Amino acid sequence: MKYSKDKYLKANIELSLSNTKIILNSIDSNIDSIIEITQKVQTIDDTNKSMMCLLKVKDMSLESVIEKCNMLKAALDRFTIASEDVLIPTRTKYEMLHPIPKELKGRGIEFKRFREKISKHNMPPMIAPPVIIEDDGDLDE
Amino acid sequence: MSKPTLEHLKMVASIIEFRCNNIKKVKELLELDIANLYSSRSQKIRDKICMDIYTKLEYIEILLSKNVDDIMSLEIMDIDSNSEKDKPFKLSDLLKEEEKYTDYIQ
Repeated sequence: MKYSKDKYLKANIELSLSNTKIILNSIDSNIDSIIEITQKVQTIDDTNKSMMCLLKVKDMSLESVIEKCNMLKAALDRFTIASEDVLIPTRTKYEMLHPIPKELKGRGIEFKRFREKISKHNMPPMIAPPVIIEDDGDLDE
Repeated sequence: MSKPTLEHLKMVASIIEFRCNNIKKVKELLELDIANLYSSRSQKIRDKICMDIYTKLEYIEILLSKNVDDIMSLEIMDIDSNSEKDKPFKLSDLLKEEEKYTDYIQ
């Protein structure tokens, strides 16, 4: 269940990021056409015509570009909401304090044995049991 | 209010073009930010990049709204000058007419 949720969120992240790229490209094309119109104004000698061009620029700025900026913000909001739930694991604190020896990296079971071995060495030495010698009577001879 | 001249319109158009070129530069920076957002693994860095993107978007919006304001002020000037032409009498003319009538009555 958790796996499918993560998968869904990751897909959401990728979708929102690809959306932002599409929106950015369309903003770019809109700005290009606005620049084209403003350059055209420089060549026109009629006041009314140049006024009409500027009014077109105003409509384009309001309807297309600002609207797309808002869409971009919404896509980013979706991204932040999705990315808050999908945390990519980084190195844990324990790993930072106790680095794994190079020769044991990537070998989980051997690393466990290595830790156990270290803990055994740190234990106090066991006292050997007393040896009982049986008296057969040969010792007196 | 006087009608906006051709030079006036051309000047505003060149200012709008300058602002649009700035928007294009900011847009290039936004593309870089989004690429970084995709590659970053830490949540803190992601949040920081998102904040940067928001501020850049706000800057774009400010530039666009300045463009719109400039064009609207030209539009208002144009409308006012046209309405002045269409008026049959000015207020001062009307007052003069009224004075004439009062003189005549007296």
